[in-house]
Amino acid sequence: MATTNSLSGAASESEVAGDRLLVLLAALPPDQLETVLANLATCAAPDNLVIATADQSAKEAHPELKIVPAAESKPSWTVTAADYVSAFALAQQHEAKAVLMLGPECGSLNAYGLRNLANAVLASPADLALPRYDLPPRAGMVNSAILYPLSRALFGSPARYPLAVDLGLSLRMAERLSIAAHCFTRLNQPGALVWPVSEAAVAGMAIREVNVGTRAIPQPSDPDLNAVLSLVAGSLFADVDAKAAFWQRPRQLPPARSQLAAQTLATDLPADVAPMIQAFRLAYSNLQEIWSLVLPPNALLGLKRLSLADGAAFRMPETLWARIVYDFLLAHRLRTINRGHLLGALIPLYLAWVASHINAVASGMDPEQHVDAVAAAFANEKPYLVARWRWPDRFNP
Amino acid sequence: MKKLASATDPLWYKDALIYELHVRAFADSNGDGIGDFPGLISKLDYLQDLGITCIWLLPFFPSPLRDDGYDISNYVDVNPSYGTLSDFKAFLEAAHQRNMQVMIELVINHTSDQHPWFKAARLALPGSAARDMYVWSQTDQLYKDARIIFTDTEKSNWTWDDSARAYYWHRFFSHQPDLNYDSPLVMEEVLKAMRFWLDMGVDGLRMDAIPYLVERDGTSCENLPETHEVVRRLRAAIDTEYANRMILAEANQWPADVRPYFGDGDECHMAFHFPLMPRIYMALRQEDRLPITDIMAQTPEIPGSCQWGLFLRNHDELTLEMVSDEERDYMYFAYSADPRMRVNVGIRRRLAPLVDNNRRRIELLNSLLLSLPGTPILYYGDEIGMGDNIYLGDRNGVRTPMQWTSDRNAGFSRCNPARLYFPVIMDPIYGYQVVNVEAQQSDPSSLLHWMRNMIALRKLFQVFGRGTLAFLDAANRKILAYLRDLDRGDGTHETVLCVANLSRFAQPVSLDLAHYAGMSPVEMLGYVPFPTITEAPYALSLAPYSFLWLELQAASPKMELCDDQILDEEMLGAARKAPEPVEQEGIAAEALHQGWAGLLAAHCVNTIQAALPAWLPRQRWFGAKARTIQSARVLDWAELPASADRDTAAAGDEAAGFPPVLFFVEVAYADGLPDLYQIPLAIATGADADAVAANHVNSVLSELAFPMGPAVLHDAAFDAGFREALLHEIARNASLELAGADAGQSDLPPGHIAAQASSALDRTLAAQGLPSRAGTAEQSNTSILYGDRLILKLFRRLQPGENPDVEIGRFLTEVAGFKHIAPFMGEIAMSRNGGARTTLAMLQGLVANQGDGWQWFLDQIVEFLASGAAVDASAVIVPSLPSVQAAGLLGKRTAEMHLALATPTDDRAFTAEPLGAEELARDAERIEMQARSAFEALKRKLAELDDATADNAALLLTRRREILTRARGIVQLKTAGRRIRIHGDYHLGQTLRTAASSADSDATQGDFVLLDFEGEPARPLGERRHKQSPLKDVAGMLRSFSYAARAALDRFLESEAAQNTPREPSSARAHTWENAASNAFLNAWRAAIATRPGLVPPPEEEQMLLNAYMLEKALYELQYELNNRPAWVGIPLSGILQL
Repeated sequence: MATTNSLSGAASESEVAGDRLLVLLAALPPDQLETVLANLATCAAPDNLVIATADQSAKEAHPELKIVPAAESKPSWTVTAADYVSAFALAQQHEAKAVLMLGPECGSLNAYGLRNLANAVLASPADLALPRYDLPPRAGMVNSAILYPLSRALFGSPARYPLAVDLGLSLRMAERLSIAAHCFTRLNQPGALVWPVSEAAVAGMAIREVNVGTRAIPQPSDPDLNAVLSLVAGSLFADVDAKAAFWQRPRQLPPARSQLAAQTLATDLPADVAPMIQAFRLAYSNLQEIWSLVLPPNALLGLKRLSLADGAAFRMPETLWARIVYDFLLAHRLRTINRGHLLGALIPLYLAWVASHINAVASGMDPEQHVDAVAAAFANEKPYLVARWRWPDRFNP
Repeated sequence: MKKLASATDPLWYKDALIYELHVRAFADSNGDGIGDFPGLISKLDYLQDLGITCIWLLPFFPSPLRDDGYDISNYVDVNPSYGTLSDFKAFLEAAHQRNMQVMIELVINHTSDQHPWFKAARLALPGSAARDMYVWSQTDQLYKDARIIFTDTEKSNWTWDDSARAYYWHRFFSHQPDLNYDSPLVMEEVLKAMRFWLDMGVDGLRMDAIPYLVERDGTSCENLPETHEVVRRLRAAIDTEYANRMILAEANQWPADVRPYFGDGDECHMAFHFPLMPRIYMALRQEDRLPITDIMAQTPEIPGSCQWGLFLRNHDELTLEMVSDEERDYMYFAYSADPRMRVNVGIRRRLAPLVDNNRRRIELLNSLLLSLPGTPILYYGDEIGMGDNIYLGDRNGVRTPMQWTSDRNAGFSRCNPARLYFPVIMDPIYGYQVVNVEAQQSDPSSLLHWMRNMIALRKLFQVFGRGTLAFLDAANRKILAYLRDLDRGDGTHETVLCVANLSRFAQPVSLDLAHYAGMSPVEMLGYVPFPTITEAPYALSLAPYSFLWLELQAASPKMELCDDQILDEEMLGAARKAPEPVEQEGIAAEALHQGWAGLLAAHCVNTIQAALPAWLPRQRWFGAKARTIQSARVLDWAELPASADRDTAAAGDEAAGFPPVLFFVEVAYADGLPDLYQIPLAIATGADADAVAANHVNSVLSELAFPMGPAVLHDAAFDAGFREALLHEIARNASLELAGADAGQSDLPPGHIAAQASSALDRTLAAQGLPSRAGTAEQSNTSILYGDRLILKLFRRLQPGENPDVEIGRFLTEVAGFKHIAPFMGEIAMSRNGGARTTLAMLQGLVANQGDGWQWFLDQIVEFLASGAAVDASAVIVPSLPSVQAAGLLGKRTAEMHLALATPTDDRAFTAEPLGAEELARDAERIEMQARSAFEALKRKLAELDDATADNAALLLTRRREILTRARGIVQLKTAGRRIRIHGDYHLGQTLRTAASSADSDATQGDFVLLDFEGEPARPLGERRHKQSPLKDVAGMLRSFSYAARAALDRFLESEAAQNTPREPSSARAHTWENAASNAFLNAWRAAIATRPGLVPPPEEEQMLLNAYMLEKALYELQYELNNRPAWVGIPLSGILQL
């Protein structure tokens, strides 16, 4: 039966038109820039739209739009600390009510998605609007395996893509992120990652996830898994460490995602999981010494069982994966071993999870259903993390 | 603009962990035997890892070092033995990089007699500015009421100076002349020195010997108003020029005398709590909490921005100035058997030797340090249990080099051991070979690891630094128990219960925690849940010298789950397999013996009310998931008679004493009116509890701590005894009394519940013990099935008045004799306080069927779509399809239902009446309101719709006026037929497909049974009982055909059969089917209804009225889909536009 509308924050167009939106664009090829500008024009009235880009050639081509210069930032596949600092400075300068940060390759976003993101922060009480992309089932595996379930379990965030490259921010959210980012930029780390979800959660700001449809996801210039995992997981682990007092309080989890909200694009060609399993088995032989510093006996036993599983039957239990990530998170906090080596030792385990995920999907399971099962395991195992965190005795089961 | 500090929070010192160290004693980098700043920098990672947030440096200024640096000869430089100013700056920067603040000493009561100011003063003329920087007198009888502090070495506070030819004043050693704060120059110079360090970035200043700054004859020369004025001037200078800095007062005074040093928040930010420290040791030795609770009772409130500094040991002796003579004697006997352990008025020993190196005692004292109100200050080396050397003079025995490793000089220095400023501790118990950082870092069970964990834990809870304190008055005085509570300012509290056993033996304790009844303590070190608190005394047992920190959390069956989280049951089931804590002694056995009354009196009703707001949204039948629940209040309850099984339950089965109960709960929301819900609850224990938790986790409302083990309180629909009891009560026309929270407080008659069987019920069935189960269908009520014979519908959201389903079911069965429904068999109703009769449950015959009509039609349509019939040919094929013919039969059955409902009767609730202008106007108004509401929702959600749907939505919005006009058009109708009781929520899901009916030639392929006459549950009961045009039901079913076509299309396109099939042709075929089915239904209905002329208006008016009702239904659907299933918004949109 119909019930009261729980998302009453959506705005009519007329409401949106009264507020100024600053859009900070990542560096884009000319054709993409044209597309984005055309799409942005549908998001707000020209008078209320300020577009900041380092590419000032667009200004001449679009005199009808207010295009202002943005600082050249070091090319990156994700949003960096410097971007947040820049976004807030520009928003203040142009008296914007809200900010839209669009990452590399945002030309692939459609007008509908952009409107949704903009409206979420302009016309609703949301402080942080995160996009929900329609991606192929095997896209964003690090996100599905670690970032999403960890963010959801610890910070109660519903965001499926906590490290999204496009963001909608209220002015106060932009300010908070700018302050957080400033801690990195002042240490000459402009490329550091900042975690909007945890910042918003700690500040008690409203997070909203909006559908934006498909998007081409930018890739790192050096697609080395070791480097990506070290950067992303290392940064998130450090952020979790810094906010321990917050996430250790009992808190509400977001509702389970509805099936309709999950849109996965058609499956691409079947993936060969054999190399991943092989890498895991090799690591099982070679990394025992390191893993045993990080993982308790039960987890090691689980990995032993996994190492003996056949290719098609290779399934890492969700609970085991959740505990492994939590144990690595704890070892990161305690500096049990060099953090670089620690995250390197996580890679074969991550590959085992990916192989497991692919096998689950191949067996007919909906990929999003599996990801949600993983997220639920992270939530269920949170007490394990809290207990380990508070009393990190190695003498545990 | 104020100069910022490293901390961003102005109250950072309230949450700080301060570590006191001497640069000289910490680490020597250059091998000269004396610690230095580069050495200290090299150990900052160690301090960071320990969890320290603020480093307190003992004096490091140039000094003759006759009082460990408190005799300063230059305020604005660094003692060359420790490094340079640059080294200090590097240290400051390195500490700040590690998020550690730095506090230094501001020793402004006195200088060294080697300070240039004093040297000049001695030679200056009396009365000159230089001379007046110190306190001079020609007699040693001035200020004679001031006590002598260093009684072991000083005989007078005055010392004669030959050069000055006068006595100079000194409260401490004679080589430490006191500065004269009556001299403006002194204040000026002190401010200069203070600014020098604050400008550099120092975060805090410890003001040494602060009570003695000003002297006045005839007084004790302590705590004088003039002294406070000096402190205020220093503070004002800091507040004016600097942000986020802190002053810590060293005032070894009684709490009431220290209190003025906080002023009105305009003097010192912090002050040491000196009297507490010796009393902690006294309480430990006497195994009695009284010394602690007594001194805390004497401790006054301090301003909100201020904080106490707590410590167990420091660089001085364990001072006994702030105890009585008798207490001092006791302390000497207890803690300083060897007279060499005493100095001045105190005991010069470190923490570990004081407690005989007993690890449990060390941990207990640290647990008090970390949990009593204030900022804890650790003395270097105590984190590893360092010992002391009582053979060194003065207090130097506790100032020996830090013990880093078991290497030479304890890893403190590479120098020749003889060159060390003091020898390292070398005895066999505390010697550096045994007690050192390196060894303890590699030992996971070491004191160092324990300290690190405890500090980290404390830092997670702001309540320790900022919360209030309340002692619990347990009968056993060997137990110290107190509550720390912090109002977070958002309506929530952080509450921690600390319990410490001061005894060397295990101790029991019962605590009065009734104020926190219903809350769940969680042991903080291991995150271990403890039994829920009740009104009864909370019993704990503590091992010798053990302590417990328990965070009191709001009770919840699964605290990490949120209100509106509806997880997959299988997923939750897996989660429940994790070991659950076994609760003990939560509910007293006496309470259990009194059954439900005892249990509810033992605060169980609070537990239920506290758990409901989180539990309700997880129930499928709960209709207000989008509303914020403010509270849930149990109004009444009624116990059902215990089943035979329960009566014969084995002794010891505590659940056997608790038959299922019907609870009636008022649910209040943040906005809007409250609802009344019927919530049957049962208690399961042992294997039953495990089965409920494993199979129906969402049904578990709460866990109960029964003496014999944990029990679960759960939805009774999953309890066979409950289901059986309901049937028995109906069969025997039973009556039950209601008990209530307000029982006896009202003049109204008590409520009761009445069960009533219909004439159609075969009572022998109830006696047969039919197997029962709870239905799994998602609906707003709960269905209970008894074998394949009966179904009981348990209404959840209750509305005063008879439920239309019961009313109509009874009429159709017993008056009209209509066969195509599930026969009405009985009911249960409630009357509260003489109010209206409210239906609780309805019993019906179970009809053998092939599934509901929705599913059957969906299968049929998918089959048709999969047949791949050409679109053009469809027009020919479709009318002959079984599904289209079935639609015709359904039309006929619908008309027969309407005719039955129009059966002439004296029952005014069913008498057919003309549908007049007034009713039409009301219908028009209702449709118009629905339209406005739907259009508003559409506007709000427009931006979230996909492009194709958004186009249609925009088109609809442009036609808003036209639609509203059409809605109002029915008011013009001259004739509109008659209004009768109707189904009210008619769609395919409300029908069952059954086997062929031999009595009807139209039903040779199968037939339909019509269900659920409850009407739209979201609408008020009164509205649902209105008589209306039967065309409303027709409109509902026509819309349902539209949904069926779309749902079948989606299902087909997702199927393997549709691989590579373009959408458009299939879509066209689905549309064709919809038209054909709708026509067949409508034609058959019209043909059958025509047997009762006048029931519906002539064709033209009929079509107009039907369109209006279809519009209303589609608008309702539009609003529903916008709120719940945005992907389906296109269906009602198309429907409206087609109209």
